[in-house]
Amino acid sequence: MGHILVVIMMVVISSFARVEANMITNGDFANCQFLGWQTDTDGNVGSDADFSMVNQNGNCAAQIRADYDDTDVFFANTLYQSLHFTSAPDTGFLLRMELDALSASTQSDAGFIADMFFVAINDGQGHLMDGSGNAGFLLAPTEINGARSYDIAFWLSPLFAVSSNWYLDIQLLIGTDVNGLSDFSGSTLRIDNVSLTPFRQISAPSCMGILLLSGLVFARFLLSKRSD
Amino acid sequence: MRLLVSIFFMTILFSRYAFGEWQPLDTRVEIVQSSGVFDRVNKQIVSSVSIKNLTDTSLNGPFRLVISDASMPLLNFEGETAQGSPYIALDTQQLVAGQTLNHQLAFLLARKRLSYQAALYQYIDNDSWELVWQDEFNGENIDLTKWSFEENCWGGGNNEQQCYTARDKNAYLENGLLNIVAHRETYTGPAAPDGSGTAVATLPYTSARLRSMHKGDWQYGRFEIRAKMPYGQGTWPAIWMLPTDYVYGGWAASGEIDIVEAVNLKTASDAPDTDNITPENRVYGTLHYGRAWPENVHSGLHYRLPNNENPADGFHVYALEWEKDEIRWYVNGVHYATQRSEQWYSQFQDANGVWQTGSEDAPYNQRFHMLLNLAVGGAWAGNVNETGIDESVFPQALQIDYVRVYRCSINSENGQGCATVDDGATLVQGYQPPPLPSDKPLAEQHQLMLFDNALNVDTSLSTYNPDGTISTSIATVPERGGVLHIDQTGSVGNVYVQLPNVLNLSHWRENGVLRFDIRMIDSQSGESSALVKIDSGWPNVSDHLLTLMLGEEWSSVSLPLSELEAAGNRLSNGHQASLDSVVNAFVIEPLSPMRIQIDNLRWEYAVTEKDHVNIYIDQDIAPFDVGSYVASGSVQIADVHSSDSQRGKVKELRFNTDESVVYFQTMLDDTLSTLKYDISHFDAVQFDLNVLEDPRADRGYVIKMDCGHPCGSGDISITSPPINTWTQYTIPLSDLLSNSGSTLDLTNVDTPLVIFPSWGNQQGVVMQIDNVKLVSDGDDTNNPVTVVPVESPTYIYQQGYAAYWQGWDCCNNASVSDVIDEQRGQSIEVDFYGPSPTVSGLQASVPHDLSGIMTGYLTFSVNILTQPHDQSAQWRLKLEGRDGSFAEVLLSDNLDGIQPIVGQWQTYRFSLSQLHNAGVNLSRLHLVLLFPDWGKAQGGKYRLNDVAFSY
Repeated sequence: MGHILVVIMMVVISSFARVEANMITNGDFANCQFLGWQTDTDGNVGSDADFSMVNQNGNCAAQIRADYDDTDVFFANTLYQSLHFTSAPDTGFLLRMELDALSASTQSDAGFIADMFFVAINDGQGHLMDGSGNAGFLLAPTEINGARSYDIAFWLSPLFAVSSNWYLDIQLLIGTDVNGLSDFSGSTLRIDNVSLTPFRQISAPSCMGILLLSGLVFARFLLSKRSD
Repeated sequence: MRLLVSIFFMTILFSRYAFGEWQPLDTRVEIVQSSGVFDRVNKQIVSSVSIKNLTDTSLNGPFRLVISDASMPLLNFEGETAQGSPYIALDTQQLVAGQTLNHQLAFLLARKRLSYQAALYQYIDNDSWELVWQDEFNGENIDLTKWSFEENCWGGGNNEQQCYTARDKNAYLENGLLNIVAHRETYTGPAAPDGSGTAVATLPYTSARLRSMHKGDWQYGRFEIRAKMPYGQGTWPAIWMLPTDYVYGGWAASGEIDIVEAVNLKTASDAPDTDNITPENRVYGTLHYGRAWPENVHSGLHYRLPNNENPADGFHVYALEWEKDEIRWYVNGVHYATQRSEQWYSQFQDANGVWQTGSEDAPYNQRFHMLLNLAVGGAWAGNVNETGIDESVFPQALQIDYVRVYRCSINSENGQGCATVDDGATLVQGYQPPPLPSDKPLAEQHQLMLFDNALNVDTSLSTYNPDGTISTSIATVPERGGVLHIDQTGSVGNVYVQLPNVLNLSHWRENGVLRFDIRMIDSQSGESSALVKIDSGWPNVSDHLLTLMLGEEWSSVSLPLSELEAAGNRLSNGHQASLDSVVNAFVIEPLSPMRIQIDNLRWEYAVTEKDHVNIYIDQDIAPFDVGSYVASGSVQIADVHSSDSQRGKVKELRFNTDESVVYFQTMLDDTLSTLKYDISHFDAVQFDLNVLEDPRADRGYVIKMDCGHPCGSGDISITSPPINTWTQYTIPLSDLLSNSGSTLDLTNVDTPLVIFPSWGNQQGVVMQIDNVKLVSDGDDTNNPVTVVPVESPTYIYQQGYAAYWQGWDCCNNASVSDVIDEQRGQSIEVDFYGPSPTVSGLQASVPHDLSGIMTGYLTFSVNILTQPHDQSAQWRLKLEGRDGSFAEVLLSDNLDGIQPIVGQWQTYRFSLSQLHNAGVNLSRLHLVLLFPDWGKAQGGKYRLNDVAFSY
């Protein structure tokens, strides 16, 4: 079933064409700063211990950390940016990003409780949405178990251009048990090369048109195992 | 227009909600939940739920997503199921095959793993209810083919403060809504409930009350009303039903069904379970039934909207389903309460005066009609929450969008088969019918009547007749009817009244007496003797030697049972009867040949022949018992062992309420009236009080004495006792009599002690009471005065008030004061300053008996300083007795024909016999009033002096 889904999504993606420039500010963190981004720790401005830059041979990326001894977060750290969708009529958007998730311990370690991360559109009121504007996530809460890289693309509905005050939220949460205890073993989420570009549908199979009309999810997950 | 469309749509939606039941879709849908994540905007935990239709057909709504077993409280729910699970009403009305629907849930922020169960419920329509009557209130005027206005200033029987009018100002239609509006305005209208007669009353608010009687009357059905409640201290909206035909007698023997009521919404809540932050937000569904007032009872339940939404902030659908043997209450389709006929009853006296218990589901098996009203203040609304009436919130409106009445098409005869039932709804605990007076076991009756015209059918008459010399019969005696006739020709043997079985009658020991009338009509000598006994089985017998005189006259015998019991058996030393096990309740043993007749043979309670009466010591002492009145919440009353081992058991009261009183009251007689006693020879009521717990900042305690509402002493505050310390209180009866507003009649007391923490603030108080008694110092010369005999001359005001008299104004619209008059010195001045009707004059705290000078006169001097603004007003004299009797005459109808002249002192004279003939009971006089015509007094002012009764 998962294999089929990927095939369909590839067909969908092939039917779009990039037509305009990136609408994400400082999506590649080129100057090793959070310029254009905002940080949040448990509902307050994020701390330096929790949000930082990593510079690998001049290639900077944002890094969110949680559940380390030196981090301040109790619930979750969120890196977010206000989005301003502009496009031609009936033109959707393509959101891409690269994520590297890493946990200090894994499920093979005793007492392991996975931390999680997700990606979603936030309407500014706390409602999290998928690419079609339905309640949900672009990338649902995903457990971090060891190291894994994600090169992800999401198709976003043209409806996002109709109204404003959207945000892109990338959140790293501390995993806890039923008693609220974490495993006190940290996790890191690196973010880089975030881009948001208009995509206009050039052609689509009729079945895809039906899917479009019915408002189903059009996110594409290009998951690739990547070694650090 | 758009608003109207929206309202219409909501109406349809809510209407549908109320007609069926919610069923889980279970395997027909797949529900996927995300982990909980942090909502940085609202600082809460959110989770996304994905619901997919797994079937190959569409699923039709409405839908509810029900959340249960959540590890954190759900925040964004819209209601709760009857089982208490929160739910979210989904906007989607249809899920097509394969369709997925997403919804975000918000939970209270907590750092722990989120877990919960999510289930989708589908509403299944029930079309068996058939709409038979409705008013959508869409016209321009209230439809008088469906509703009638009730117009009166009666006060609803609850001392409510509104006059109901038929004016547009108080009830009108606008934008498809019926508005019943209460205004702060003084208004005068009919005083009678049905608006008949000429008597009027004035009240400070106006409102409206509509009823459908004889235009819409139903037995069984579904009643659905969409309404928005008013708010503020003193508001009391009600949508309810009363019997149309009162088949089972007066209120509430024929029942009352309250579909929804509320009081004082948005004021500070006084609910025991409140968080002290959320304003008052309860609505109530209640049944009133039982016997006619005051022996009625009520049972019901309150309901709160989800998320602490206030019923005054929006429209909600209040519904009631009534079928044979069951009545159910709903708000917005949530079935929250059920009452069943096993827990209600109706008891009444039939045409022959015989008490009956209504059959089957009586009284709710007759036709009822609907009432819509907004009351102001009164016994409920005015006494709870912040108490009183906050006039700043008025005008206030009860708005009603529609009233719809449905018939159960499956079985319209009994209304059954169409129920919308949620098994989680609360089954309200009501009341079982008490034993009818005639059904009461002998031992529990207020009076053990053994012979009155005939022998008590539960007893038997027998003789011990070893020599065959005794015979008994029933003789008929003029003015008495049947009497027990006993003929003893020898000197051995007796006659006894045997109980049906051995009875424990120990509760008669404290205050019981054996009483009978007897005469000896034949004897060998003018004086003979007989033994009167009670018998616990030979030789356990106690006796009393009774001396009888020959003659036709009847004499009354009264033997305290405790003394009789203690007297023992003179024929078998060391033995005595025990009231714990009585075999024969009466034995008479003539000691020589005689013919005697006995009548009115009974055991009864007497408190008037003792120097003290115990009401509670270790236990309730008959004829007194403990009871409580609780407006809401509860009071736990129990006899518990005191921590002070010397005390034994004490009465413990635990207050889980803010509005209650606890009282010690006499038992009921056959007419269901409390026993009344003359306690005027006592000096005080005495009790010990120990407060164990009292969390209140202001620890007030109140007592009073009652003689049948509204007769009573009024509230008297007592000194607060130290916590956990027994404190004895002795309240002089004279203090109860002289208390402001006291109408206590010591010759007719049924409730010697009412006690409670200050009304409106009682929560958490735990107190114990012991040794409740009426006491006397044995000196009858200082007994409280219950009536003042009047001799000639008696001045009740002569440059000052006589004892027991004071100035009085009935309705707070006149001032009564003492002034120094240039001509007459100290005088009474009465100034009718207010616009509302009132009467004023002198009031006696103790009734005066003028029967000794009935041929005399009432004289007084008056100077009318100003005439009322209404020049047509005439001055009137009114004398009123404590029993409510009165005589009212024009001042100008005095014996000397004097016409009132403004600015002059004039002396008037009235014949007491003339006043007596006009209706007043002058043996119980307590008011002497002088006033202009009712409702026309404003502006009038007079001075009064030298008020006297004399020959």
